[in-house]
Amino acid sequence: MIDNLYVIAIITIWLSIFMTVVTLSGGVIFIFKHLQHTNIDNLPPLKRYPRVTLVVPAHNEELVIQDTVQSILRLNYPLDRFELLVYADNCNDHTADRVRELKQIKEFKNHNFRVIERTGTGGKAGVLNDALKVSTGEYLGVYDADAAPEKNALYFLVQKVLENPERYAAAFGRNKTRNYQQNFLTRCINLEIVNTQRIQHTGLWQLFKIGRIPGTNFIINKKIVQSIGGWNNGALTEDTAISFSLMRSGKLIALAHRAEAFQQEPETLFAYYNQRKRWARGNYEVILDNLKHLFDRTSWRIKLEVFYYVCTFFWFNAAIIISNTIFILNMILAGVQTIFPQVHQLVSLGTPLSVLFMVNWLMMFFLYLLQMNIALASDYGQETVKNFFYTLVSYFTYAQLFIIVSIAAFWAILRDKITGKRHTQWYKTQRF
Amino acid sequence: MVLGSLNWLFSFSLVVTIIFGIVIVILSISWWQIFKLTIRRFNTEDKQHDR
Repeated sequence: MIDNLYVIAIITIWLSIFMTVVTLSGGVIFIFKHLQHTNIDNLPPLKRYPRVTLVVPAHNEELVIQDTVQSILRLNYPLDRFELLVYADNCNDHTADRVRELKQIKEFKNHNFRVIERTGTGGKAGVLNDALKVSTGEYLGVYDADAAPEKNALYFLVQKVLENPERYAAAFGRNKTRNYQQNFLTRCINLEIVNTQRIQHTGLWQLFKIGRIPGTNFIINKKIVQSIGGWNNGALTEDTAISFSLMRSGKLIALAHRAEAFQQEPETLFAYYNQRKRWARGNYEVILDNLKHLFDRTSWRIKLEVFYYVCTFFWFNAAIIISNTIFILNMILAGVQTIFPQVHQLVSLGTPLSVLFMVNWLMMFFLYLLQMNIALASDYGQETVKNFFYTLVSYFTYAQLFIIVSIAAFWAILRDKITGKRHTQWYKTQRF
Repeated sequence: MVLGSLNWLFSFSLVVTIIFGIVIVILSISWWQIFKLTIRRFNTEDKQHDR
């Protein structure tokens, strides 16, 4: 029994190291290839400027909506080539009024934007499906109510899809944390986001041309979305769901790494827990829906994505829980052994195999630090001594929250399956 | 724990661990290169911005 556990454990560690090494290598190649400076004050004109409908789904966002709308209206894109639709979705605050106030500002008099007060169902996916019906653009762009794009974000997104409009159904940019200096939690979230965007996204795009639509800062070809039936109404993670749908239809989601937007991240543990639980739950549902594609004739990209998600959400999670349990049991038994010498520990830490395990764990930890530092070094102003220490601490604290969140999400799915009811509520991420 | 039937695992693991170790050393050198290049670039951008 324990022998088999050893074999499974070492394979698990190797697989996680292998996956990290592969994405990190891809990320490093991407960083080296894109180190040259872009003069953003003197960008060449695009081959053409397709009409884009930008959509902002907003549910009770009066605190942040004006900043976001102003940033969008100041985008470096011809005024007659984009329209902005702000959906005040089931709001009981002054979100719609805040947007209308901007109409009075002289600077925005000639801008094509309007606010639509919506009372329908379906959440964000419902809003996007509504926008699909009324939009006049060739492409649909999405910005969350708290995501203020950098002025060239749309330019870079369009530039990317125009590289291969037949193949690239969508392009997505990078999101940066604008409130990362707020507290320990926001600093850790920032580290996670820098790593995801600078290593995971770039690595997967560089090596496999795999991209995932984030919730915000992306554009998508309207006709292609319509051809796959639009967004999945009520999906908890409509972005992951549509990414899989696009890849199943043979299209690619391209990374436009220079298109940046700044968004707010949760500042309290409660807000973080609810946001991540919803994401984890949504991802579980999408994985389970797509599990069958591991064994059919679907594109290899789908198989790779499903395998990646299965490893992260099921295999590695289970491995961490089991190894933590064994570790705690072992510590208890070690304590008992001091009083009752006849009691033996489950695993002895002095054997050559255990030393090898320890070396592998240290390697994994070093790889984590390396990955974080490569990500931080490639992002302006992030490679600081302070961030290095946060990286160290977050491994043992913040990173462990993922286990709690994923167990809670998994339990919520199980509970709903058993009771036949959907208990999960949509907690709106609190703004500051 | 006595190694016993896991002797093969130990020698095989050693080889795999060494291979991973070499890859990680290469990636570490890459980090240093990226660090040097980006610091230089960011500093240049800062100077241009200050002018």
